[in-house]
Amino acid sequence: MTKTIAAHELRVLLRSPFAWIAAALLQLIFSWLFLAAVDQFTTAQGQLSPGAQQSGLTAYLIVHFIAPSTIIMMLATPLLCMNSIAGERQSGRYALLASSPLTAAEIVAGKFIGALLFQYAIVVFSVLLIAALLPGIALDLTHLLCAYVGLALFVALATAVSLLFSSLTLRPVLAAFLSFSVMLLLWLAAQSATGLLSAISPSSHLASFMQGNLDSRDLAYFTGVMAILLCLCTYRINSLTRTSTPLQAATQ
Amino acid sequence: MCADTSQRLLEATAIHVDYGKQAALRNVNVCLESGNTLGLLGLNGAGKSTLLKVLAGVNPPSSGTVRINGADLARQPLCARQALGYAPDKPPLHLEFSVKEFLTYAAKLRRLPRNQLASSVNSVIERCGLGEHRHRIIANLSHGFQQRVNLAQALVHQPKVLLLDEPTNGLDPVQLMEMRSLISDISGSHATIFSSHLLTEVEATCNRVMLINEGQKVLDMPIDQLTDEKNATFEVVLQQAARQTDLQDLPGVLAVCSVDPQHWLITTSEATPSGNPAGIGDALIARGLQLLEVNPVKNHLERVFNQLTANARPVASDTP
Repeated sequence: MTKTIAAHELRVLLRSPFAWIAAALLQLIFSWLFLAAVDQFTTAQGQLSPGAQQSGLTAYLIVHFIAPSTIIMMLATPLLCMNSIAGERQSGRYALLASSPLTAAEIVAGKFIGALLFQYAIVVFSVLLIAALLPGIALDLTHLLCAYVGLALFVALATAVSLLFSSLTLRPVLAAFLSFSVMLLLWLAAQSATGLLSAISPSSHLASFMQGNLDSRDLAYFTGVMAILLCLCTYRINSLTRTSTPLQAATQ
Repeated sequence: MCADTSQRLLEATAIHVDYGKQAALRNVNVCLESGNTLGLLGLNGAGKSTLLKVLAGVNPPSSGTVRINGADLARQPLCARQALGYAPDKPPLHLEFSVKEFLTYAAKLRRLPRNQLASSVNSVIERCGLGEHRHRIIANLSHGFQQRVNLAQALVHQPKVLLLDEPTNGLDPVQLMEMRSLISDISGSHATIFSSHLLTEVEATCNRVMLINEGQKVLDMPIDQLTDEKNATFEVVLQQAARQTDLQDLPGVLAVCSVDPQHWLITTSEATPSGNPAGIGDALIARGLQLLEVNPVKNHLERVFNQLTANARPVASDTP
């Protein structure tokens, strides 16, 4: 059943003009970042020794292309996911899911996977930009793969945050705004704080992926936080059809 | 009211829905058997849609239980929802999909086996008169055809219980006739609840009628008893509270409906001694009840509707 909902969610996005415009704009931004990274490397190439040039271009691509892509996706994900639950509840389409023999976990998993597949398709197109360099230039593929694993995990985390907020309100724009605010706050926490705040910030865990280190602690962070967020979302969806509370009545 | 408990397809008991301090539904009981088509009537804001959402499991009740085909909606939700088709007043359509794509998705959500998907979807498309439009995008269909798609998604898995929330809303007279005929066709094989503002629609398509006023059930009886010219309905006001059983077995009484414990609607056969105001008054006094008023109610749904919605008094609902 998860597969049915995920496939439907993906088809909804593929038939939405908004999603196509967002995907096109993201490709434009990614292409711009890519060109800027290659251009900066070309300018600095003369100052690098021949041995450093292979790792030099990889580092330039990660610092000036892949790392900024995570920030772009942090902005795009809430916009692409805001309708997942909030939009359906606002339009009345959620009644179809709520009256069908589905568990809350199936609904959440289906919507999560569907939204994630669409975003991964956008990211894959950005990978093709780097792949275009491969026939002529040797790149550190392991380092690049590690950076993309980090980006993929970060997008999944942002999707889980967006899905949770989309389940908490009937207003998609509010859900997107709250998701982006929370992601931004967590991101900035790593810049200005240390200790616990830094430890819960995704940017501090993403940094090691960008440095080419595949650390199990970072993998555990992303999967663990994602699982907690999806469980909270499932609990919320479950509560919508269980005994009502004054808070729930207010949001209905 | 269901006579035989083994045939109950839908049974809702003591449904309360509170939104903060405001009660949207109070102590509402519903019971439906196969072949029953219950017309749910009430003014705007009376609680009709809220009741249907609770019965469909879309909104939870604050208290009370709902059983569908023997399964408790709160404890065995998957089993209960498998037997349920719900067409809300706001059609839950994905407008960007074609009719066939959307109905296939709805069928998959209802866990139809893969080998039955195509035949079930084709069958419901033909049944709902959507054959010529199966490949059209839903957004491009008229309102009437969108209502048909809404009905088709509720029917696609051939549920035993069908909940239709104002399916004739916004239809032109021709579409209205077509939808009425469609609902009459399908209602024989399902237990159906059909909410509407239109009394004529309920009279034409339903065999039972329930009236809700300010979140409370004020009438629940077979429609033929209400509209049959051979029957007479009396509004009876008593000095003291009475029980349904005190009135139910009076001679010639066909149905009894509580407005409150002192205020009742009694339907009798006109051919019996209780078929006139004096006769029913005598029968009540002979039963030891102190009578304050007996008023004949014309056996027409509109009159009963007007009378009951005008009397916005607290109501003790009968038990199924």
